[in-house]
Formats: sequence, C-alpha cells, structure tokens
Amino acid sequence: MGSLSRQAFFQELGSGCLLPTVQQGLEQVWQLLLICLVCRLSWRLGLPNFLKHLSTVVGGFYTLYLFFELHMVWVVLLSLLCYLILFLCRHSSSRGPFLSITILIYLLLGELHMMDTTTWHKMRGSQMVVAMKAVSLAFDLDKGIVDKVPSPVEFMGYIYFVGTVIFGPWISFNSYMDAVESRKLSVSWFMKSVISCVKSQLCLLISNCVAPYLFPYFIPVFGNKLLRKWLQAYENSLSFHFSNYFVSFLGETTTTLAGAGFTEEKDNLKWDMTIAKPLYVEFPRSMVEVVTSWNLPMSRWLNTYVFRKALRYGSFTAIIMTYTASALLHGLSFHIGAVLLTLGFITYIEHVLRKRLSAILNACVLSKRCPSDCKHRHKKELWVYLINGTFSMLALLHLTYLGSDFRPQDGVASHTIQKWTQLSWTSHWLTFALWVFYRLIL
Amino acid sequence: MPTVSSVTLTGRLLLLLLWAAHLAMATNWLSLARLSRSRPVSGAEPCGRLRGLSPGQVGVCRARGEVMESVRKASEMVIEECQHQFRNRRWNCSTTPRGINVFGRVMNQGTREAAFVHALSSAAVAVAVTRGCSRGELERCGCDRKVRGVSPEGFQWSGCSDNLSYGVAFSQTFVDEPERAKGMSSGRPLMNIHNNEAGRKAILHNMQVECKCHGVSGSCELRTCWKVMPPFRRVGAVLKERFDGATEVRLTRVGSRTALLPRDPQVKPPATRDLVYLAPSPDFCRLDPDNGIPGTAGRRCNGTSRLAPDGCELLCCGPGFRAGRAEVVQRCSCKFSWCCSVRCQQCKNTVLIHTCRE
Repeated sequence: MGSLSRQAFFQELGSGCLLPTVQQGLEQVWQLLLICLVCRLSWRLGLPNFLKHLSTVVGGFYTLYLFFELHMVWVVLLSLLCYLILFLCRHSSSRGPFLSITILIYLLLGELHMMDTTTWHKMRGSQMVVAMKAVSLAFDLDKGIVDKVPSPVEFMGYIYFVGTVIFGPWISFNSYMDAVESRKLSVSWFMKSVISCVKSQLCLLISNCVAPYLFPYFIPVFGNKLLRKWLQAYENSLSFHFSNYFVSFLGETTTTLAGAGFTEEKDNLKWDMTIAKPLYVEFPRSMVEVVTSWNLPMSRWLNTYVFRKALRYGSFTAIIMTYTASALLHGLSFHIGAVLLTLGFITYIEHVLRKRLSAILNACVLSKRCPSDCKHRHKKELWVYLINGTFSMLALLHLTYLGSDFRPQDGVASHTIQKWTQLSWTSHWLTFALWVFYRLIL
Repeated sequence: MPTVSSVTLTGRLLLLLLWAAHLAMATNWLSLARLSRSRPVSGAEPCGRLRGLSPGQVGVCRARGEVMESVRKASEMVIEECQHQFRNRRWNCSTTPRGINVFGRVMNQGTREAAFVHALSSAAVAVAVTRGCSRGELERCGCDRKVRGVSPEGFQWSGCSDNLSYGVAFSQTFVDEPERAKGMSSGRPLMNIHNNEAGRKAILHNMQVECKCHGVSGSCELRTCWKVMPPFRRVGAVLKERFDGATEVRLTRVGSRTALLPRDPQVKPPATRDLVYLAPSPDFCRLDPDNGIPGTAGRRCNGTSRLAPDGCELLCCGPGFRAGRAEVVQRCSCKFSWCCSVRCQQCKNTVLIHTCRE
C-alpha cells in the first residue's frame, strides 16, 4: 500500500495544488505582462521620447492600481516627494545623503503612524524599489554620472517604469534611458521573456506544492523529534527561498518584456537580466555568495550606494551599515531586521575567518571562488575541498535556521525569538564559536 | 434444590445486565485514553482485547489499524476539551475512577451533556485523523481535492487543503457504528447520530484560510491561499454554544419513518448543526456515585458574581458555600532580560477563596 499511497498523494497534489497554483499565479499577473508587452510595442512606433515616458507612466499607474488599488497613493506620494527634493536641491552637491534621509523619514513615518500594518506590508516591495531608484539617481547626479536633473516626465517614467514598478528589480536611471531608445524586437528577447516566465511559475510551484511536503512525501526521511524540527525548518526555508525566486524571475520577465534588462557590447545585444541565482543559494559555497546571489540588482545597489560610501569608517562598520540599510528598506519588521543583522554578523565572521585561513594555509578557501590565476599554492587538494565543503554545510545550516520562521504574515518579535529558541540558537552559537576560533588564530 | 436454582437464576440475570450495559454505551471507546502509552491499539489480537470498542469498532480497528493511534489521540482530546469548556459548570466532565464508561452513566440518559460529548467525540476523531493525514503519518490519504474553485473572498484555492473529507468519512464509520448497530428506529441512536454529525459540521463551518505571500523580499503583492482546520479549542467553543442552545426533542412517527422533532411544537425543528437531547439533565448537585456524578461539594466558586455559571449560589445549589482566606505566591514585577528570558519576583498575597460547603 505504500507505493499506492504515494501515487495517490502525487495524483491529488497535481489536481489539488499544482493546477490551482499555476492558475492563480498567472491569473494575478497576466495583466501586468500584457501591459509590459503593449508598452514595449508602442515604444517601437517611433514616438517622441516625451510620449514614451508618458506611456510607461500610464502603464505603471495602472498596474499599481491593479495590485494596490487606492493604497497606491502612498507610492505616488513618495515619488512626488523625491522629485521635489531633487528639484529644490538641483544646485547642491549633496543630493544623495539629503534625499536618503528624507526617504528614511517618510518610510519610518509610514511604518509607525500612517496606516495599518497589513496594507503597508503589502506595498513595501514597491516602496522599496521607488526608494532605491530615487536614491541611486540622487547619488549619480552628485557624481555627474547623470549630468542634469531629469525632467518631470523623465523622472516619473523612470520611477513608474512598468517593467519594474511592481516586482522590481531596481535599475539605474541610465539603464532606463537606454531602454527608452527601444531595441529591435528579436527572437532572443522573446525567448528570454518566455523562459523567465516559465521559471517563475516553476518556482511558485516548488514554493507552494513541493517544499511544504518535502519530508516525508518527496524524500522519505522521517527523523526523530529533534531532526523533525530541523527538517520542518528546512521545508519552511526552502518554501521561502522559492517564493523569492518566483518573484525574481517574474521581475526578469516584466523587465525584459518591457524592453529593459539588456547589455550591449559594440553591436552585440544580449537580453541577460539576472536577478537571483538559485543554484548558488541552494548549494552555497559561502554565506557571502548566498547574500549576493539572492538579489543581484539589490546587491549591486547596496554595494554602490551604501557599502562603498561607508567603507571609510572601516569594513566591519560598512557591513553593518549595509545590512541596516537593507533592513530599513524592508520596513521596520523586527523579524527581517533580526534576520538581516544576524546575517551580517555571520557573513562578516565567515569572510574574515576564511581570509585568515587562506593566508595561513596558502589555499583557495576564501569566501569567493578564486580566479584561475590566483597565487595560492594549494588549490585542488582533498583537504581544501573538505574545508570548503564544511563551510558549505555550515551555510546550509545557517540558511535553514534563518529562513525557518518566514510566515505568510509577519510575526511579532516573540515569534522569531521563540523559533530560534526551538532550534537552540544554533547559528548564533556557531557564529560565536567561529569568531572565537578566528581570534585564536590571529 | 432451592439454593442451586436461586444461584443459577441470579447468574443469568447478572450476565444479561452486563451485556446490555456494555452494548448501550456508545462513547466507551473514549476509554482508550486510559490505556498506557505502551499498550498497542492495532493488530488483530490487541484490537479484540480493547474492552471499550463495540464489535463493529473492533472490525474497523483490525482493518485500518494505522488510524487507531489517531483515535486514541482523539479520546484524549475529548476529555481535555470537555473539561475545559465545562470547567465553570456543576458538571465539569469529571471522569469516573475506572472502567470503560469514562464520564459515567450520564452519557446513557439522553441528556444535553451527552449530546455535547457525542458531538465533541465525533469532531475529535475527524480532527485527529485529518491531522494525521496532513502530517504524513497515515497512508492512503493526501490533499483534499474537493477544495478548489474561487472562494467567496475572491482568491483561488491552491496548496494542499487539509483533507478533512477523509477524517470526516472515518469519523462517520467509526463513531456512528455503535448507533447504527442498534437500529435507527429508537430515539437514542437517532439522537446520537444527529449530534455526531453536528460535531463534524462544526469543523466544516469553521475552516480557516491561510495564505502565503509572494513579493519583493517577502512583501505581499501576490498571495496563494488554502484552507486549514480550526484549532480544536475553537471547535469545542462552537459546540459549547450549540450546547447552550440545544433543543429538547422526542421520537415522533412521520409516515412510515421515525424522526426527532421538538417536544415543544412552538420550537422550530433543529438544523443539522444543532444539538438535540431527549431527557432533561439532573441538577448535578449531590454526590451520586452510581451515576458517576461527584456533586459540587468542595468546588471552588466565584464569590463576586451571582449570574455567572460558576457563581456560588448557582454552582453550590443554594447558599451552602463559605469563604476562606489563603496565602498564594504569585509572580510580579516581571522584567525582560537580554537575551532572552523573562524574570519575575515572587510575591505573597492573601486572597479570599470561596468553596461549596461539604
């Protein structure tokens, strides 16, 4: 009866979960995809740039309304506030810091005072993207990468670009202006859009229908009470991961469909936008690799506009400030803040420890993969692989621990603490142990 | 010769009474809660030795042994939940010291309390079995394929909704079996089956919706949703409300069939989710060991309220209560310590405790 029950389960999974999930996934996004496509096609009509910007603003407004209804005013308000600051400070050379502080105040006020948590939580993805776009534009203006304050319609076109307004990702202002030039329709463009769309639906299915039933239905491991807790934590973690990949691939789809997300070398055009690298997260070399592979555009943004600017205060401070900025962008959720801060410490300690081990052992055991021409003496010995493998297992454990309590709704502080207590604060203790070890081998 | 004849007659009579009593008590399977953990509840021979099961239930036990652990769990849930819901009433689901009739003979008298326990029992079996399915502890069951389409709230069902239909079907098979074995033409089995079904309906009408958020970094632009069972405490609370509004009925012939209709013709016929009872309840005031009623002597009561069910005059059946002083140690001045525990001081306070007079 065992095999029959398994067959029965998978049969019911197909009709009861896979089908409804795909249906629901497409049902909620098909209009967004259609508007992106219409926008792309209309830009190919040879319209003046003014009308191109205007058309994407209209499309962006409509999709915001589709997803958030009247609550979209908060996103609109944020963008108007940003443009006002940029315009008023157009002769200043400190627009970046000033705008950052303004946005921070706006987000804090919104979080604490202006509306109920559920609504704010729903929109914070879009708010985050708007904030990142505005901040990057301000800093680029300060540095001269963008030579003058854009016109209102250009600014709004950038902010409400229909390809990135809902699911992201952040793109730079210059990338947006490149997209407005409107590249030719091509098979590779279309294939990129379709493939990303298929990948996003696959990830949604894994998040909804595979991860929650991984043990014992898909992998027949039952485990005792202790192991059961960790298996369940891994299921939750995996479900959260693939929810993120779903959104990332969806963002790739909408961005590409709307005509952005390409790189150009001479006459060679590649539609190669990449937001997340699932394989690097699920089979990690290190937590550093996980962090950058989770969301590449955000990683790039944080590196360019936070980390490098904070590096003058020291690398540890820069890392903590980067994670703090990331937490603030995600809204004042204790849970996300706690996870990101913990992640910051884990990442920093692993990085410095591996750097030290690499120097002592003269081996390729750094957080990032060595280029093929590095100077280390030991590269492919068995013990080098063992050390790297150990750190990979540690990363898997950290990921399970940190992802274990992502829930449909944000939990309160006590829930996060309760979940980590259930898992005996394992990652925190391990990180502390590694730090002690690092101090010992200095 | 007279002596021999007298002994034989007495023996036969006793045997007949025991047999009738055994057959009549449909909630005897709740005695599974009294078995020690190590006692098996599946397998052909162990099933036959479970005294609380009816012959039909023994058959189910042998045929579907993998589910019986859930049934044992259900019996524990019933006793705990019943004692919680009735904690402030005269009858507080006290259990008998021993034997297969866990709550005593009050379960056999067609009372309102019996109605509640029957409903709660069938609900507990459905919940425990469904939970076993969801956790992969039981083979032969998986997701509930009937939950699909668009919900009234406007989102599409997806994900594996708890397979309640499997649990409900098993509950109907197992819990209703002793009633059907008695025939459907007398009042008691009809009452019990009605109340069993009301218990299962209490779950169906209180299913809850859970959703997963998908959005940039865990925000909620897009959601997928599915149904889950309510916590059993909620089921207990719903049935307690039904208990408070239960309808007294009597057996009435309708054409060639018999049905339970309200004793008071002014009252509308009960809906399928209402509880029904055939006989008024005793007052539960005095000790009555034969019926498994401990009475309220010695119970703590609420000295400050005359209207609450645990008010002293109500609970103690009149003015027979007294007040005493007691010193209690309570936690106070609790503070959160970083990281991460709560520390409290121990404070002594004198409180007034009211108890029913012996």
